[in-house]
Amino acid sequence: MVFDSKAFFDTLFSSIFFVPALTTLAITFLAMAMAIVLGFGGALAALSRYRALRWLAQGYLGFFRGVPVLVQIVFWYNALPVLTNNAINLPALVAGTIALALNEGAYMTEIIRSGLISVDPCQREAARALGMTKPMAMRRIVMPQALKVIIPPTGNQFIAMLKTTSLLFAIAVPEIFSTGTNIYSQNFKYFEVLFVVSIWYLVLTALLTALQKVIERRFAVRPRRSTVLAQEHG
Amino acid sequence: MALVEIKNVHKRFGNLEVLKGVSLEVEAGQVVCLLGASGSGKTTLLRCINHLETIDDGEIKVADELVGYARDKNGKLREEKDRITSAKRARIGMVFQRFNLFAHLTVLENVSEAPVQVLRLSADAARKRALDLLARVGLKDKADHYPHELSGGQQQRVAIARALAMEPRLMLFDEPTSALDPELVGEVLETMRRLAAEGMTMVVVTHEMSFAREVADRAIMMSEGQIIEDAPPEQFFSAPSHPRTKSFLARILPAQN
Repeated sequence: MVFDSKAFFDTLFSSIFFVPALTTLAITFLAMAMAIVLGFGGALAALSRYRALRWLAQGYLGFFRGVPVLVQIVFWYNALPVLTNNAINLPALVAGTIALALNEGAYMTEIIRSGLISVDPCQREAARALGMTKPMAMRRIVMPQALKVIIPPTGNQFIAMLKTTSLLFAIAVPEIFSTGTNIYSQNFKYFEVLFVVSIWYLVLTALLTALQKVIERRFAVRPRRSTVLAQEHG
Repeated sequence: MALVEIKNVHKRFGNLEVLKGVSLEVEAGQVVCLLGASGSGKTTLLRCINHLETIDDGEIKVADELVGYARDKNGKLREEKDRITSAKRARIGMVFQRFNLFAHLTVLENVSEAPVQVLRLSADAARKRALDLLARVGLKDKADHYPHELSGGQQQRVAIARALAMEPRLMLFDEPTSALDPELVGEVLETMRRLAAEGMTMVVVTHEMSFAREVADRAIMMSEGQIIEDAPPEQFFSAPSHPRTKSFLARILPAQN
């Protein structure tokens, strides 16, 4: 194999991947933000005492986890305009982000649900016995404890999402991978270009991993604060 | 008017009827101990008082108000809005067998959380109240610790302070010493004893016969979902009238002394 180091370094140090990298990050954060909101809704529905809501959550989960995400992406971009007689015709970026968010929301539903059921029901009962309403007990007592279980796998999903955005090349969203495909289809330096593309993804995942560490530390048991001393001295 | 009025309460779990028409009145300032074998319904009755359990028939009033239910215009009981029940619960303290302190909050935050969230006390006022209460249960120096750093007895004393921070007019205790190592039982009972001496109305499910004998105004024996004996402790322990109370005491007392 001949490694064209000039093509490799030219591609690596060209500014052509800057905007696509930002696009990739933006799609990742937007899709994950939407997925987390969907996941909270889905988890609450899945744990609801109303059967209809539990069924709704089950249906959502079953469908969006069962259909390949690539199929969903193409559906939102290509099939939806046809289906609606062009009433809904989303730009590729929007269609792609929605598709990723809806798919991811199903996984986040499961992650958040497992976080919520990991909290001892007695914690909620103690909160209720103190006169907290259901939403208050959820927000102040159950959720903060559930977050410790929810955050690590969510970090994982973030990183997975960053890489899954590459599927949006199928609907020509200008993210990192599709930018790479444009380059190698012109210069045929498949290996060199894919190497550069991989480096970009590695750098971004390293970034997200560092961010995850910071957030996990933030939600670990907090260090002791000296309230008593502060009061007695102040 | 009694502070707690329980009238003909029935409670079923599926096909199992755990309360079979229980009636009981507790006057303000009284300390009532609920005794009986496990499965007799005493914990369920306690949990019905603040509506942690629904009831299937009868009614329960605290300070002349139904808890968890409202009467519609036909006089039928309907479950009331969560917000309203929560406000009533705020005035009924509860202490659990397994403490149930909030694991993610410090001791101080455990005690001040509900006063801030539910009673809308300012953070400063709630903190001051919490520190006062922690001093009362002898744990002011543990204010900044997390629950898992405390012994069981200390955790239970914090749980008592947490309940008192809501300024309840009634305290419910669900086997507060059953999960404790024997050497830690005394400190919790001492805290409860002082609370009783201050005039708090208390309903206590317990297996601590010495506490019932020395502190309670009334000892109540439950068996198979019914109250079978309700007497001042002197009479309850020396001359029980019901044969099942006699056999219960015969089984439990030698082991205790």
